[in-house]
Amino acid sequence: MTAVLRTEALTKRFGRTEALRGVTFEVPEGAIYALVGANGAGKTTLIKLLMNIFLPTEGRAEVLGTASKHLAGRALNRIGYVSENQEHPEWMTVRQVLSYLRPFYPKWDRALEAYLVEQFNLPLGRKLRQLSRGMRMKTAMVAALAFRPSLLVLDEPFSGLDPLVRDELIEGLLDRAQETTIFLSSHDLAEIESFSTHVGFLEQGRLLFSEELPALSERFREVTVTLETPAEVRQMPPEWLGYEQSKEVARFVHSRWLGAESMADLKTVFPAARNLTAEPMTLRSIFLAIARSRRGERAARPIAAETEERSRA
Amino acid sequence: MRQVVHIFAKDVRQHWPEILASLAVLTLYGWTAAYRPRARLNPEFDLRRLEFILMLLAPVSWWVMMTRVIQSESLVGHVQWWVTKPYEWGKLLAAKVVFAALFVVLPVMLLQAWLLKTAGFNPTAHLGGLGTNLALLVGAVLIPLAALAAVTSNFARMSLTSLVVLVVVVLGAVAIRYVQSGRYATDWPQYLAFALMLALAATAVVLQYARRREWRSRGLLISALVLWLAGVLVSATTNAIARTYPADAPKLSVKLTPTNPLLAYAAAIRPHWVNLYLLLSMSGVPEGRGVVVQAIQPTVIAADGRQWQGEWQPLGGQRFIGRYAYGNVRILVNREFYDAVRSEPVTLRLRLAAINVEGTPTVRMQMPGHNFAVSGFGNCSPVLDPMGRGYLWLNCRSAMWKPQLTWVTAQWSDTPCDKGGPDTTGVTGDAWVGELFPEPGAAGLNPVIDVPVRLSNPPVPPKSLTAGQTAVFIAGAPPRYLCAGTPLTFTAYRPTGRTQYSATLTDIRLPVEWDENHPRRQ
Repeated sequence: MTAVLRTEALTKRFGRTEALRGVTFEVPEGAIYALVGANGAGKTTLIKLLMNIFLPTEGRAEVLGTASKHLAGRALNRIGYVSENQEHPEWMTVRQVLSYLRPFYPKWDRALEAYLVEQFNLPLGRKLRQLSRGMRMKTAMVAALAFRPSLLVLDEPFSGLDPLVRDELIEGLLDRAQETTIFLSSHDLAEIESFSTHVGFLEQGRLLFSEELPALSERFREVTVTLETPAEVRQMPPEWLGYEQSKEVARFVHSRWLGAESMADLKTVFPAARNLTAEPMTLRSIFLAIARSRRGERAARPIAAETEERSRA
Repeated sequence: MRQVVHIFAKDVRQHWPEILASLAVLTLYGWTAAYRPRARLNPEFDLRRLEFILMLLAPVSWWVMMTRVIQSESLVGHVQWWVTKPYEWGKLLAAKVVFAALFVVLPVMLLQAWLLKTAGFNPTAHLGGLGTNLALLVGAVLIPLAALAAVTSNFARMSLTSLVVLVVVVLGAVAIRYVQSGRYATDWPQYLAFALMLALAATAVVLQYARRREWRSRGLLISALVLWLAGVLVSATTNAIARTYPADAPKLSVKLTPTNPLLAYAAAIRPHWVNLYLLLSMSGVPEGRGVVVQAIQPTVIAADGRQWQGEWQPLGGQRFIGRYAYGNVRILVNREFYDAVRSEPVTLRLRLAAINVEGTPTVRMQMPGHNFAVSGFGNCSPVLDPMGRGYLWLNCRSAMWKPQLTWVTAQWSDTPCDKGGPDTTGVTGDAWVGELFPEPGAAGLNPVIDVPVRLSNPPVPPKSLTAGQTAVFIAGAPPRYLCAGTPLTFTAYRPTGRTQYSATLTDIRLPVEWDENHPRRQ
């Protein structure tokens, strides 16, 4: 499968602040790639580098086969972009925005535009400055979808929207997912878990991992070990995150779960285990575990290194 | 092309109030500029002030309009809507250029053509001048404006930046004027620096549209400003006299003589310098030719051999032509040396950087009692005195350029025009008008340049007076009139070459300082 987006050691510094540090990843065609991370993790910077709004300090990025720093003009008529902090031509009505943008895109689909306007219930005659934030985002979404883009880049598109508008936007987005690769950033994990196919996790400018969502879910397990007698683990494997132990119960997150093989390993480590369970985790739980473990400066580096190795492979 | 038109149409829809305001200012300016010449003698209807205000308002309206148009697709920042849309930078820039051409350049061109036509000139005969004027408008106004708008993110920042640039330019000009004080300035470095500044500003605009790297573009603009200031500074401090005014074999052998020592005086201008004003006459200039002195280098030699030599000093084009081969020459001398030799005879050696001029065939005519054209000069109207007894002066107009340096003569009539004038007993009146090197675009917004011809020996003081004052003066002044039929001559002088002359004034006394005891006051 060809990569729609590809970065290599992408780095961005603003003065002395390193906003992105050597980010390498790929987004395959047809994916819904969710870039997640806390506020200030570098998501927006990464997106702006991809869209040639910023220039990279080091490294490179490719978008639809074009080097991001050359992304301009006609190269943008296959890319839709919506951002929560984008300025809009507020003096225009919704109708004027759409009719102004139409000639820029050779593949603009008026029927799709009409469908989306109806789906999002947009007031065509109202000026953008008179619209709510949600309505403005919907307008931007129609403008980004109506030309059937090959790639849709969304920067925190649902941030601050009420659940109804959010659901409408997601629904509109998923309708187009068949023909469009979607790359979006969000810090709302529950929201993206429902529809993403791939996920990347940025923390303080570093990409901790980038992989398919099912593989990620498969790789992480919340392990609970009930012991016959209290025992101490002398050497903690790096893939165990957030290890906690009360007298007879040990809990941790296993970040390289390989099914029966990992279970056998655990039985070796805990020979006196009375009960040993490994439960699948939600995306939110996985991120919380990683974030907590990063705070304790454990595990993250190997995971990131492993992720990079995988993406290189 | 479609994208250019599309963006242009959007800009027109978005900025129609600014367009209307700008066109309204220009239209009103055109009306006042065209109407004023007819209304100027009526104090109730003097439109000069309104015209001046509108002349300032017009560039302000362009400044507002073009800033908003350029910044509607702001080139600075990272949240602009348009940067992620398939705009092609060349087409975006072209759309802005078309906007400026249609709503600034074209209206100015039409206005100027109309003003020329209203003033009796044929616009098609002045296409070169119109083109030069518009090129200057683009170079001196639109390119700097576009460059500033392209590197600022919004109107407030643009205003602040413009203010800072203005302050830097004014402070730089003041500082350079201080450095230049008393020195002859060479023109070409500042013209070259200005041209380079414009080229850098235009490059910054293109670079900003093509790459949106605002700090590089800002760097270019700062370099442009520094370069211009440096050019003006070099211009002020470079001694290019030897190159500009060759010292070899002057065509004339001229001699300077002090004419009236009573009219000479000295004035201290700074702690260590004193200005000497000497009335000198020049001989050796044949009829029909002349010398215009641009700079002077004085050497004062005392009787005991001590001497002081000054730098080349500007003389502002002092004319020694025909019967007017005399002039008040200002020389800056070191105060200490002046004090040491002021009471003894000295030798004053002067080197003159001069332009030789030659008169063209004189246009002779009898003055009509209505508007008339003078070939190669312009259109003139005789201005009637308030009491209707004759004409007082000529209100002439030239198109696009100031007229070539011209000597105008007429014979005043002592008899009022309605009582049989003109007669042949009156004194001669004459006037120098125009410039040796008429500057392109000296017209500014109005291509019709007023050239008042106020002849010497006038019946009233030449400055404009209120109607009441004029009546009082006329009542007490010797009656002199210009009438229909008064003989007039127009002789234009053109430069023929640059050279240096030397003149030595021996055994003269430096003039005394102007004070209560100055002989002229007594």
